[in-house]
Amino acid sequence: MRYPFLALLASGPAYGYELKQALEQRFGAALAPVNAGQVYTTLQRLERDGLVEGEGVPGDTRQKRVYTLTGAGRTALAGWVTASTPATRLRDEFFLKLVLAGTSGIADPRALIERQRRDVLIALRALGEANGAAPDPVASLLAEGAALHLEADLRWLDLCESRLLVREDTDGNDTDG
Amino acid sequence: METTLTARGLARTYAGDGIEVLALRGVDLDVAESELVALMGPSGCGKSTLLHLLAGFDRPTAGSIALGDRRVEGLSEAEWAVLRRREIGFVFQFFNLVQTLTVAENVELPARLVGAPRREARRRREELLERLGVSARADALPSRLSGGQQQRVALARALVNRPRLLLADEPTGNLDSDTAREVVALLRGLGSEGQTVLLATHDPRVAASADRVLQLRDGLLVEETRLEGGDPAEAVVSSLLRLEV
Repeated sequence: MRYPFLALLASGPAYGYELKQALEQRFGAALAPVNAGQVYTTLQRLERDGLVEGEGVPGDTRQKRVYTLTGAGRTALAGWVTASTPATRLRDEFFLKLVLAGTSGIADPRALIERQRRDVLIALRALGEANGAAPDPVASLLAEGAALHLEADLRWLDLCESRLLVREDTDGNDTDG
Repeated sequence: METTLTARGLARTYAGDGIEVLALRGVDLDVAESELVALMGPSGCGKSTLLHLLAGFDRPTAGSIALGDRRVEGLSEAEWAVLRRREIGFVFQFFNLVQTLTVAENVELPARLVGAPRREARRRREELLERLGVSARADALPSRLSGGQQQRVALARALVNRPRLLLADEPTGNLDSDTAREVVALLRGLGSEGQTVLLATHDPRVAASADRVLQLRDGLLVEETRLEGGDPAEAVVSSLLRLEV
């Protein structure tokens, strides 16, 4: 939450609850629930690291603080926003299972691919339904991205199937015919 | 639930230059009433061959086909033609509209061929074109329409006699993603009217909208995935999408 807060403070000072609201407004349904405790812990750390300055409001007994981005905060923010972002993780754990299943005999690779394909299709179906039901512009853009990744996963599963699996049924019928 | 379509041991062999090509090698298939089933598989796996056999465009080398409890694999050409007009709708990847007839005439033609009065044919045509968002093009010739529009007209034509079974070969193969989504929504809606859909597709999103996905490889069904009745969409989506800030 550190950098999103710095980014929101770049347009002007704000209270903690305002930052929480701004995040929720901007990301809508795409955002995991943000709890208030997290918000204040994050702001305390940013203040400790000199990236924001907090100032108490005179006469306020609830110890509300208004936060301002510091020069160091602006530099840190610029570094974050322009740094290269790691691509979405590939299904490396599934790949480990698939290759090891084939070589060790602990599971049928075809069954693993079948199971994985089912999970991906179900996720793709759920994304389609959710997007049709409640179109939230930010969340639906994220959902489109997720759907494209899932489509790629399916293509890749086809590729795994055709490269890694020699089907027994094909061998059997070839000898018949 | 009643079974709309049953196939047993369906096989198709093509003979050419002394080599036998096994396009389909014994397919068993049951599709329930109101079900939407997608066939997936690489090019040449037998998807189109299977659909063509089920629509009577081609004859199996072996095996049986039943529509409801009526065996149909031995029907004559003329009997198949009647069946396709009344009970089986077919949508081709490349539309196959009659180029010399207007959109409206293309859609009304099958209704007129089964003896629907002119007014009734017109009413059904207007309703379908409206639902498919192409009513403004009713008087145009197919060649004046985009691919997406032609596919929707082809779908309207296939549905005009309210067939119990709709077969579709890559129905979204030539559509942009928004149009594809509309066509898929329409296909999904057919189940609530008791119509059954079997389609072949390369498009994962189309397959994902089906109740069941069948994987065809080298002329055999090798995998069946039931998608309906899984976890609620909301749960799946929130596990997949929530931004953690």
